[in-house]
Amino acid sequence: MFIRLLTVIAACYLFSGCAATKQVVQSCAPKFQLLMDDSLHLVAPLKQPQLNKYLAGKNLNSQREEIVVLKLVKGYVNIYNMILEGHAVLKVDGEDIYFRGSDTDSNMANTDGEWRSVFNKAVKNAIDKVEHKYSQCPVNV
Amino acid sequence: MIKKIGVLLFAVVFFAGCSTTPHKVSIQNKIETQVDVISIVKQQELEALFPIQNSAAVSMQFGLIGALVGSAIDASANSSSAEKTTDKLADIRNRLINYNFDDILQSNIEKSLVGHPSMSLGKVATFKDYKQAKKQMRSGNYYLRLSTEYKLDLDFRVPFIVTYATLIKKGATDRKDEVIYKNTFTYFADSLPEPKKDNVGNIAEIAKLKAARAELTNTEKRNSKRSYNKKMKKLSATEYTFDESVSELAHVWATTKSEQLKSYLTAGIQEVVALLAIDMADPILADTYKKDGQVLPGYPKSHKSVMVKDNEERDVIRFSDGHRAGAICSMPNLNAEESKLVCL
Repeated sequence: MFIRLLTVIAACYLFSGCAATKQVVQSCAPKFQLLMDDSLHLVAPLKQPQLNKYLAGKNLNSQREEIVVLKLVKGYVNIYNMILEGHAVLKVDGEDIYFRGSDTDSNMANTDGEWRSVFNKAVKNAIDKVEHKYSQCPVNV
Repeated sequence: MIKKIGVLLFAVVFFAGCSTTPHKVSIQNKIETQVDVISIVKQQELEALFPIQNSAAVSMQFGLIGALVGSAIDASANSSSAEKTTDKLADIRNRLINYNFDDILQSNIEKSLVGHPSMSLGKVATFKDYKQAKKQMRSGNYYLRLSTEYKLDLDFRVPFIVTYATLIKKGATDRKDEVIYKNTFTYFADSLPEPKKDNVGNIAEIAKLKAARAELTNTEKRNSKRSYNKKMKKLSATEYTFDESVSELAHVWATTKSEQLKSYLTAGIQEVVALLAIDMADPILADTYKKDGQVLPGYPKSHKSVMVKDNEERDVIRFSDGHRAGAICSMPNLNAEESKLVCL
């Protein structure tokens, strides 16, 4: 009886650290809104970047009410020998900081879909950089 | 006799395509109707040349599969080079974000071509691609198409601008366009000096490494010889690798020389447009330059050209032979310090 009790105590002690813990990560990032700059020249396939889902996902994780407006000030795709290179430059409204995103992919058939894909990835890449900068929680939170 | 004629005919048929068409087409008579200028600047930001791998010719010898594998390898290598170049350009592009190359070019075109002796200037407009411009073009009208690129050279030392100029009488289709004038203008700005590695700080580390090696036994020395040599080579290197050198120069353009870069680009635009205006008024046919062509000092023997302008700061040359006959190139004077031969 005593040995059994000891075994249970030992087991409790040894496995106490094994209880599954779920760490809840609360992002300190604000909500984001993406706008196109009026002077922006975008060729047809890039005119509607499909980023609503991506931004909605980010905004869902946000615990803050603050909305940061991001302006797409430059967006383009370069074609080189068998590759497509997408570029996006975001400016945080009211601030003089630029965030650049880019992506390269092989250019198989030079279709609108390929252009859109490489450009969307570039914009996402730039949004991730903004999020990284704005997601740092204040020390006393 | 018949044999000789046969050989002659054979030669005529086979070498008919070997005569080169000169690059420049000159305006022979003044164009009385208005000429609209279409300035095309496809790029949205400063670009840089990067090494492009193309092994299509080799891989195609292994059939369709070979070609596919070859193109996949090329795409991967080129994608990596493009990414590296993009990273290096990021800070420079941020510094140039409010520099509007397109607008500066357009205003210079308007200033330089007003009252031109060979044509009367109509509207000047800038487009990002020719397809967009074509929607506004009407058959029978005259258009001066200027396609311009501005880039940094492969080693990031020299910014340059290239403008391809074509004056056409628009036909019903592109093939029916009548070319009235054609030429190319290249401008190379001053080059940055090659960066030199400062390894003074490594002297103490080299001494420490030598002292540590002196205390080793012969066997230990033998075993560590390769790693020792590698470390010594790295510490005593006085030159940057190509990648390191490009990164250093990118940093210089983005910091201390960012304003200089803007003024180089503006000066380049002014020079290219001024040369275009002069050249359009010059009715000399490109073949005429051939007899005046000579090998200028510092150039390889195969490179013949005519000096257009030579002052203390810049040399402007015109290619006199081959498919580039008539094309114009402006570069810093070769006698200037740290200058690099670029108009090749």
